[in-house]
This record gives sequence, structure tokens and C-alpha cells, in this order.
Amino acid sequence: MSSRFLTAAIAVVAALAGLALASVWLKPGTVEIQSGTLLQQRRALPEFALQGDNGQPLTKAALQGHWTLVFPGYTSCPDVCPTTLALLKALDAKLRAEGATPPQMLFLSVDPGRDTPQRLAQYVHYFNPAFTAATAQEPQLADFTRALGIAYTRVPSSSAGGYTMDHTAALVLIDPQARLTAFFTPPHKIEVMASDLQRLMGAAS
Amino acid sequence: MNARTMAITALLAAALMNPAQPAWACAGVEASDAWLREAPPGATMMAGYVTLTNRGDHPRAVRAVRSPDFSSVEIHRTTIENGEAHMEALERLPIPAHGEAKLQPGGAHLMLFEPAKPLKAGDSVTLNLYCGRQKPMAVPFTVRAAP
Ligand SMILES: [Cu+2]
Repeated sequence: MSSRFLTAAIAVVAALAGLALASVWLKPGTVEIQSGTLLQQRRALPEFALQGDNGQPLTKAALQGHWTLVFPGYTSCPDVCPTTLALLKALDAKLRAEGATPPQMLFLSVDPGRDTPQRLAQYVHYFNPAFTAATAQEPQLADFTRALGIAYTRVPSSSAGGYTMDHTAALVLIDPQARLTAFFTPPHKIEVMASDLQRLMGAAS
Repeated sequence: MNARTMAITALLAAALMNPAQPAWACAGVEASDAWLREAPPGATMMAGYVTLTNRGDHPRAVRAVRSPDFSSVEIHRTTIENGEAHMEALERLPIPAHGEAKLQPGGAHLMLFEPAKPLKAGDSVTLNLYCGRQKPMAVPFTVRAAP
């Protein structure tokens, strides 16, 4: 009798200890990523209205039900923007090869003055027909980028290009509930990003 | 050999022997790995990359780039500061004596405006690099669809 009681007591203590340990180990926000910054608390995005590359409105509903990786840039940027898009193309292929569903890639143009939906579609589809793009006029663009933690500045220039756009070089990860989840910061490394994404997208939110 | 020929020969020899006054302004500079990134359809701008190695004892600088295949070419540099990507035009691209200037993605690059015709991977175009007012250095660039 007493030995059965002891066994039960040990089982209860072990279970409690296990729960305590699990609560420490599995506490949300203790997950780390190697390729950027993970938000300790995922942040819900406000409602927004962008213009998609098909000319149709792109709203918050379009971000729901799948992961999204947002890349801010502009098409009159032939150096760093194509480099990053080519990297995203390789990242997409790597995740598919590993049996994962890659996030929806969304190129967000911070240059609505020059980047028409048609131009954006041509630009991103050159890299991958599954990639999408969007932009917005002001103040919608400023509102949306602020919510994403993205900055951009129009810089006048004597260059033949007329002006350039300074913009945040990070990639923004949004979860299937349209919540801001992580920032991937340069220099972007495919291997590290792929393993971070696998872990994040595989884990329960 | 008459006196005039001798004088010209002497001048030429002097020009060749004095590296400070080269026969052409990019003297001692060699170009390697010259390529342009293939651009998406409809793009009005492209980027070009090259490694310029200065084998000479005198510093050189590319001050202008021209090509019949583009409306204009500028020397640019991309920098990432405080997490923000920024692109600016450079007046000149210095190549130190016995050193090199490496133009590569995400750094210094040639910014090529309005290609005269669509350029596809495998195509080749010539860019003329001017280190001064003298004869430019003609460098063939290959178009690549590389990252
Ligand atoms: Cu540039």
C-alpha cells in the first residue's frame, strides 16, 4: 500500500517537475533565430489597402492562411534589389526541395511614383512567376510600412535616374494570422534563413 | 632616320617610359570578371560589375564610363547603414597602385541607363572606361542571369 502511494507520489512530483521545465523551455519568445530578430510577441497588423501587381486591391485578407515574406524595394534599383530577389528565388527552391511550403514572397515597392502594377508584375515574375508585388499611394504606403517597421526615404539625385529610394534592407516575416513575426537582416544567408524558416513555420504559433 | 622622325621617336619613347604621362590614361590597369546582370523585361536600368587591377606604380581612377549601348553610365555605390540600403553616385572610382577596385553586387557598381536594345544572358557589350581625357579602356562585359 505504502509502496503504491510512494510510486504515485513520485509520478505526481515527476509530472509537476516536467510541467515546470516544459513551461520554461516552451515559453513563447524564447525561440531564437540566427538570421535576424524574432519578435517576442507577435504583433497583429492593422487593416490596409495596397495595390497588387494585378491592379486589384490587396488587403489584409490576402496575408491570411499562409506565411508571407515581405521585401521592401523598388524596380529602379538594379544592384541590391535583384540580388535579394534572386536570393529569395533560391530560398524558395531550397524550401520546396526540403518538402516545405515556402512563404509567399511579396515585393513591396516604396516607389509608387515609378512602379506601376504592370511594371511590378513584369519585374517579380521574371524571378519567379509565383512571386507577388504591391505598392500603394500615400498615405496608405506610409501607414502600412510603419506597421511593418519599414522605413524609406526619397533621395533627390543628379543621377540620370532622377532620384533614389533609401529603404530598410530587412525582410519581414508575417505569420498566417497576418501578424508581424520576424525580421531577417542582411547579409542574408540562404542556409541560415531556410533553417530558421523551417523551424518557425513548423512550430505551432 | 631623319631629324623629325628621330624627334618623334624620342617623344614616343619618353611617353612610354614615363608612367606619369601614359600613352592612355588607364595604363597599368587590367579588367577581369566583367559582367552585367540580366535585367527583368522592361527594365530601364542595369548594373555592371568588374574587377580592375592596377599593376602599375601610379594610382589611377575611372572618372567616366560611356557606351553606345546605353544612354548613360554612372559609377554608383550601394551601402547598408543602420539597416537601410542606400545608393549614391561616385565622382570617380580610385584604383590604388598595385591594388584593385572590385565592383560587385551590393557594393560599388556601374549603373547603366536605357539599354539601346534588350540584353539577354550571353550577350556582350563594350563599355569604355575613361581614367582621363585620353583614349579610354574598352572592356567587354558579358550579360549573365546570375544572382
Ligand atoms: Cu546604382
